[in-house]
Amino acid sequence: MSQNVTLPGDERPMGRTYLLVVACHIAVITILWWVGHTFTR
Amino acid sequence: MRLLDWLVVAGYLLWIVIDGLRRTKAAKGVEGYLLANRSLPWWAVGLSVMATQLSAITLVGTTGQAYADGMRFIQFYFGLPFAMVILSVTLVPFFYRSGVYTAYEYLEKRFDVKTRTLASLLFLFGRSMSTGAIISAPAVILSIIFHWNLTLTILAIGGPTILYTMLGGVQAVTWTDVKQMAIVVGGLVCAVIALILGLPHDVGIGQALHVAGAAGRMNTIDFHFDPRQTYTFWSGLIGGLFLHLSYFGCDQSQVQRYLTAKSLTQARHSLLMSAFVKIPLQVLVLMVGVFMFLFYVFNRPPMLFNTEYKDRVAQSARAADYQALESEFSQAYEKRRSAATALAQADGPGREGAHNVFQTATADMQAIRGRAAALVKDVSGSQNYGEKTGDTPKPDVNYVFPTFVTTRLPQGLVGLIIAAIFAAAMSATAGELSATATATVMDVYKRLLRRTESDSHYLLVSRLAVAFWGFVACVVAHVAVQLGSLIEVVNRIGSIFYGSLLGVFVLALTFKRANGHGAFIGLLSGISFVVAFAFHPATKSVSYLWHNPIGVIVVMIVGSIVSLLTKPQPVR
Repeated sequence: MSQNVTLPGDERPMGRTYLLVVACHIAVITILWWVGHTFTR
Repeated sequence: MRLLDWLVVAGYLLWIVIDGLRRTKAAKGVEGYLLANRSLPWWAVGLSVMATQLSAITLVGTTGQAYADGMRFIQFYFGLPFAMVILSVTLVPFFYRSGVYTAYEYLEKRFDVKTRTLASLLFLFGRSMSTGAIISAPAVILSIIFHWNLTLTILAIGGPTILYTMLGGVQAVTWTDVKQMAIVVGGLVCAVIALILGLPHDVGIGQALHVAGAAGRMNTIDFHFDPRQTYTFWSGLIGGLFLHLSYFGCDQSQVQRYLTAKSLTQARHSLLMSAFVKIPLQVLVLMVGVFMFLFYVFNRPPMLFNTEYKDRVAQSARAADYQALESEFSQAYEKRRSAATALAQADGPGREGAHNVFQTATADMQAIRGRAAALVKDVSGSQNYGEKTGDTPKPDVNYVFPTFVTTRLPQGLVGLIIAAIFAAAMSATAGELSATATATVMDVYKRLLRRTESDSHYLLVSRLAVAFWGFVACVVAHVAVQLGSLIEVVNRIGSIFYGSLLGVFVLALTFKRANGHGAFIGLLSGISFVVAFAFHPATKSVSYLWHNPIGVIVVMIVGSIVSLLTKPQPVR
């Protein structure tokens, strides 16, 4: 039943997308920290 | 619930079942039934990935958690985006290119059949338990609040889900997930709007959030390193990273989702969608809890939200004591409401004084609530009333959101939120049923019992497997009620196995010399160690999030040693 599957567009480079994920996540953590800091004072 | 609410819930159930059944035609052949012929677009798969993870426990338990303990739960997801990137680079291409049906099938290609079978059986055991918890959580709450029959409520959630999953396969699961996510998010947004509109006219959103902050509800990030605390920056980042690596990389309920994608790139995109959307979505869920807290600062809350023992207390010798506490609670509430209004409008030097008055009033209210919980504990014998989540009695946490919905929202909106709770439970259950059926048929039935049957035979067995696991889930749902805090039950069961399962995959990818014996013994050792660690008196206080990295490390060490001491296996 198992078979090798190769499809067009399989190997599209994703490096920039991964960087974007990490950058956005750092931004989200920073915003969350700021919100917590601002409203807890 | 009134007529309009019933119509909304009935309309939702009918719509989902009909839509699911429409997919039956597309579910021809085993590959169509279990993997949708690898034809689905990334956004549908991505929504399905999130829908499978977002159960009714998330809706009801997490909003209650934020009401009781604030925003700190968000830290649980800090490792998730990193996990998605790591998986997109490592495991996803392996799974996708090898054309497997299950994650564990890959383990046979890399190691041997016994490692595959053990991993698959562990998944089946863990998931059959947690699927029961996924159904029981909303069923118990809805049955207590609406006085519905528990068995019928479980069947109302489980029955339609089993039907459309059994007939429509993974196509039905994915496309109903998309609609169910829309209902859940729509319900949450409506709840936030209703809660904001419920604030007093002279208190702005920013002022209200300062009040929430004064009560510790805006505590988003805690940088202290304490392994006993579940929700800190470090446990979320490190423990959460391993948990999400395991969940999205080794749990068939997630792996199966992205194996249905059109291409490897689309499979990766579907996972990365969670990396972008999951935390904002979780913030929305938690904000519902924070705004519920604020709503009940300015509107009188019930002394206890969970009414399970209300009648027993009313008929007991302590009924008069409870009544006295009720009037004490009303007075304390009025004092806190005045203090909150003063704090919201305070500015400059008067603010610190108002802050202290509000905190004292909040502590007074919680003390009365604590005495009420102790009284219920004495009368009912329920030990859970001795425990707290944040400053709220533990048994109350899962009842805050349903109580708010059923007592404060207008007709129609109640039906929408109840439909959203059903949708969340059904989407998570459907994903699990489809995955457990796939593992049963591919890893056990076809691999070990009947290897050369026709495609239509395996299709029939797949459908029967869905029905079987659906039945098991409904039975487990009855007994899962006593397992404790609903929000942590699912993750706790998963965590016992997850880290060790991830360890086997890490061993496979990183250590060329690793062989089947090493992987098998490493996996058994990892699970044994984590079970001992989780229940040993000296270490049981360590947060379950840390069980995952511990499991990985033990499997890696034992697996490597055993592999080095035994005969190398031929390169595959």
